[in-house]
Amino acid sequence: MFERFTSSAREVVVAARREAKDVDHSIAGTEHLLLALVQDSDGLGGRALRRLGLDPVAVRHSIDTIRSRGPVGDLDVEALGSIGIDLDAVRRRVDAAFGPGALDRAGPTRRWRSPFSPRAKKALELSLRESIRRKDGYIGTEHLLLGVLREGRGMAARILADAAIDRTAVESMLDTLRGSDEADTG
Amino acid sequence: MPDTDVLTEASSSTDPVVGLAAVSSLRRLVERLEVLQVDHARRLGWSWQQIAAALGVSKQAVHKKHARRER
Repeated sequence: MFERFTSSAREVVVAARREAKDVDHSIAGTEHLLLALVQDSDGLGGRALRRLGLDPVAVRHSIDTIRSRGPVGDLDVEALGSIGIDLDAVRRRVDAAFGPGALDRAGPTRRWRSPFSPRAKKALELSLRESIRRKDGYIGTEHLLLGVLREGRGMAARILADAAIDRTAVESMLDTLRGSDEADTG
Repeated sequence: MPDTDVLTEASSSTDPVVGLAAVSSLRRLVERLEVLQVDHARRLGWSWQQIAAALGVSKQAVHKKHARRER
């Protein structure tokens, strides 16, 4: 499905996988797509995100915050905390003994073989649909961003919602950027 | 306010939603720790018999549950 991607969009997808590998998750989730998008200098998607006030540092911070609070896979941090078990402490000790990410890797084996999480895959599919909807004929970083937004349930969608970046804001920012690009070249 | 925090904590401990989620998560946590420890013991050369004895279960049970990861 990547043949219609622009070079910027391809770079974002590759960078998302690299981001996932860097933190030893090896499965790229929507949060890695968002992280790659916000760091992409050329594409409309990254430019729109930064103009809307998001930056790589903020995204990384949000990812860390959500990870430390929310359930880790199927482990509920708060519920365990209510019976006096500090999951972060357990994870620190287990990872110290068996290597980084050991506790997460010991979880249920995943049934898909894609380098992307099901939600990230969904976001990529939706980016194709966004491109078709606009009759653009290519998939650019702006479609990736809209795809991530439309997916709606992944970590990226949560981060965007927390930053008050919704579809309306993105669409209008994209229109503004498209307008100024045309003015520059025209 | 500290008072409210204490109250929230006290009430949450009798909330079945939290209590059951805790039990369920604890069970999964135990499963993960078992996977890590069994794999580690195997790497150190422990037999299934030794691992089963340490876990307090039958050799068949521990083999059935964990041996497929080695294949």
